[in-house]
Amino acid sequence: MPTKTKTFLTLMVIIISLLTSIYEYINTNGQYLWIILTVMLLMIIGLWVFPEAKGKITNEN
Amino acid sequence: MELKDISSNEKLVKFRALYREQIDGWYNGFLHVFIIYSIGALLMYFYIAHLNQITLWEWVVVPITFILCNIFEWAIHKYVMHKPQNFPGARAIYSRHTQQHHQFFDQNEMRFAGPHDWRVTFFPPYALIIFTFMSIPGLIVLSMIFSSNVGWLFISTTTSMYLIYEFMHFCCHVGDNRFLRNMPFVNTLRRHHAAHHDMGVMTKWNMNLTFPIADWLFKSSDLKRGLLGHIFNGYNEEFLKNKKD
Repeated sequence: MPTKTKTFLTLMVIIISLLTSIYEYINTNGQYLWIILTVMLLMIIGLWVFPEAKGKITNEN
Repeated sequence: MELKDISSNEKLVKFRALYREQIDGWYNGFLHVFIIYSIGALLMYFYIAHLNQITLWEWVVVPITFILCNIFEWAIHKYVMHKPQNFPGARAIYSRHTQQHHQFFDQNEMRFAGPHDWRVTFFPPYALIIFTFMSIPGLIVLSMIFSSNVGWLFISTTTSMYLIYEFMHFCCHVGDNRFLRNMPFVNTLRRHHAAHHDMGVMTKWNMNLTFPIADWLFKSSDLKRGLLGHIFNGYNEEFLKNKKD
């Protein structure tokens, strides 16, 4: 996945997590904030650390 | 690195070796699965924690979403994973599936050699992120139109379907055993998906990867039988269509 796309998705994860945190804080007094923050962290790790197969692999290679 | 009793052609064995060379050495299948299922489990906990005194009519959203997800899975598999499209990311999905996953397994050799091969079947973790983003508008709209329970049940179902998809697809690519042979749904999908890995039919038959409902509905299954027969077919080959059908 191109770095630009990863950066965009990371920003989306952070923005959505922040908005959800605010919603949660207002509605449940932050009871589930730990879930939002853990999911955000795991999503960012998942986005950046997993290796892609490099190059185009076909049977002709 | 490779299965000792690999039962397939030389071309496939060569591809598998080449594919493994392209993956970073530190790749760990267990970590990959841990990340996906940790995110999934935490999201499910979060969604379920927001449900409150669900009424009977609110539950109706679950079977409707389940069927829509089944059709979505079928359509993505048929029209994106097996046909190169032009929207962003589509080529990568096609390459990853048709040019990698389908070269790594054929109908005679459906097994991983070990956890170092799991990347060829499990989606990268960003897929769950994208599917979650895609479900958020549904959560908001359904919460506004009906009730917050309907919205949370909707997103719980979409996330569950994704997690079921990964589990069922994984079960198709491990060696046979008593559990897999006798577990309803799993045994059906194992036969269904192995048949799909025949290069001659992979673009037209057996597109579902969870329950073969859309395949039955759109007549893209290799079986000639009713819906219940499709879902509980198991390893039965009595109702196979002719390949020319």
